[in-house]
Amino acid sequence: MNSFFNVLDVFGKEVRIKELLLKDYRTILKCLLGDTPNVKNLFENIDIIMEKYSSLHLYEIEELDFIDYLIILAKIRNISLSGVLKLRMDDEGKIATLHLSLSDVIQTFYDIKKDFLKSEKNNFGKYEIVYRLPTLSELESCQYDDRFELDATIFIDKIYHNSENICVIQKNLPINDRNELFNRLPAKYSLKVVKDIKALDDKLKKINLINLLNHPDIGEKCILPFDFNIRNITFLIKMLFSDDLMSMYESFYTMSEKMSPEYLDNCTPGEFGMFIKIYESKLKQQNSNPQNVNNIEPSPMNNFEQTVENSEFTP
Amino acid sequence: MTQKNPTYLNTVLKTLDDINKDITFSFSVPSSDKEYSSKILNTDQLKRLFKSIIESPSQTSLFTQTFNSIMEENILNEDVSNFTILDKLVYFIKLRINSISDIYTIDLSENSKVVDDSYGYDLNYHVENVVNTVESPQELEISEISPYKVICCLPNIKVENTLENELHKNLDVEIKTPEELRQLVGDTFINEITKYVKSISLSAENIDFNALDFKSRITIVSKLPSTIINKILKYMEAYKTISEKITTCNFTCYDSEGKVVKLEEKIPFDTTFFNE
Repeated sequence: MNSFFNVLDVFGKEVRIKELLLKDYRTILKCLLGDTPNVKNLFENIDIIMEKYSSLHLYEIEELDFIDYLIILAKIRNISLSGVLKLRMDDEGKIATLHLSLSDVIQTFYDIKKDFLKSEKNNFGKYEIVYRLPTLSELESCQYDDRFELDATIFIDKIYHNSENICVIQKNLPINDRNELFNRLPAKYSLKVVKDIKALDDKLKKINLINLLNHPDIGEKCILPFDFNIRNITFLIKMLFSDDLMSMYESFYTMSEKMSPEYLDNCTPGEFGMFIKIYESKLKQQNSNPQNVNNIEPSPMNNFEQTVENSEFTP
Repeated sequence: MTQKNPTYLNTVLKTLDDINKDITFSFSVPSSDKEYSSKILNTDQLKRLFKSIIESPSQTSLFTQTFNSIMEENILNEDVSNFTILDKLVYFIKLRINSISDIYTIDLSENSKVVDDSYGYDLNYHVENVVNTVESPQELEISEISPYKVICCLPNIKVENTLENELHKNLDVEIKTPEELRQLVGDTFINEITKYVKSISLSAENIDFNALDFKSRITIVSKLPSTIINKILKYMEAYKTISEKITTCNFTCYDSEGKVVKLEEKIPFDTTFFNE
């Protein structure tokens, strides 16, 4: 049922991904419950789920920079649910549903990293500084350090001193050690590092994913920011997986009367949606038959956000 | 995955310290003909300077303490406690040149007279043509009013540190009433004057201020006749003129019609000067 896989190229690294199963999709929705989900809880659970659905080991997932992480997660979402993000916008009381192409969002992630990679190596005096994008856990522990607003060391892959032939900072050192080493660098170089990171942060802050809709009015009214703020990244993930958990339970309950719960748990969200669709159409047929007028049952799809449309359905 | 390796950390820290020891610059100060050597600012010191502006509402005090401690850490083989406040000001500019950049970017975005948004002021030129031309004021003896003989001089780092440690440590910066504000202004005034007094002689008795704590010094200065206080203020004014000269940048820009506009901007004697 779930042996179908896709191959992804994530900046030269081949990653194989599979469709999510309903039980794990439900876990993601559980972690995203509420207005401000617990960040640590969310990413720890998603890490384990990503390990299950990708060819990456847990330690490799933990070491992914946040862009690679989002690309893989968005792609898993793409093949498991659909390639369209449905966003609900409240425009002065009028609820509008916007359809945002997930592949455009993923392309934006690729573009950000491609742009970043152009300036990843820098020579400051005798120091060679190689930048990298931080991991999600580093962003979570990011220290806002007064004038050094963003913790610069989480953006450093390594710092090499050419004449001493020594690697001053390596990314696998604990953050406190990296900070202690960074503090010994000449101020003029650390200022340059901070300036570069600030420029990247400013560039990211200008990105409004809503603009991918190419709708100037909506782009002005609605902002879907993308930056280093772990809360905003969490919000983005919440939009990738926006189904209503309660509705899903209701649908699951209804469908488990017709099919085995174990079977349903191990089908993909797309398949689950298809079963609901079939069930709904059967209900319709029954209801249209006057002899069955007393057998009307409520549709399990009433509140289940993730409607399965032919154009965007990925079984 | 992170690796904890204290040996690696200590080895690299030691190597960095060794590297930093060799990145030095030489400088001179108005109070002496000697050439001194100093390390450049490191990241930790720059962070401490930026913190001093953020954490302290009475930022001058914390900045003074932070900058004085950085002077002690960086100036090699010299007791910096004898450096005067004028020496410190000169060092402040030279440290900026050697640690950050010799170009100081002056923001002109709010100056409607000129077309440019900013001006890159050459600090090396400034040192050559302005800073190096100033002379340190000599000690002043005020003896017109018998039996007082007051010796004034520029405060040094030791005096500043004594004042900061004794008086500003427990300073309540939250002013709630006009009375508290008046008290603070009065205290600041007398503190400043006291910093410039080196010794007071009354007939045969000589009081060396270096041997006294700051509270005792203030008590004595408070009792001085106003004529003497005025003379001390004049001496302070002479220093102010010199420091104004050192911190004034004169340069020219163009207006929208291409005409030359003469401009004057101040170098801020605080942390903001260390922004690139």
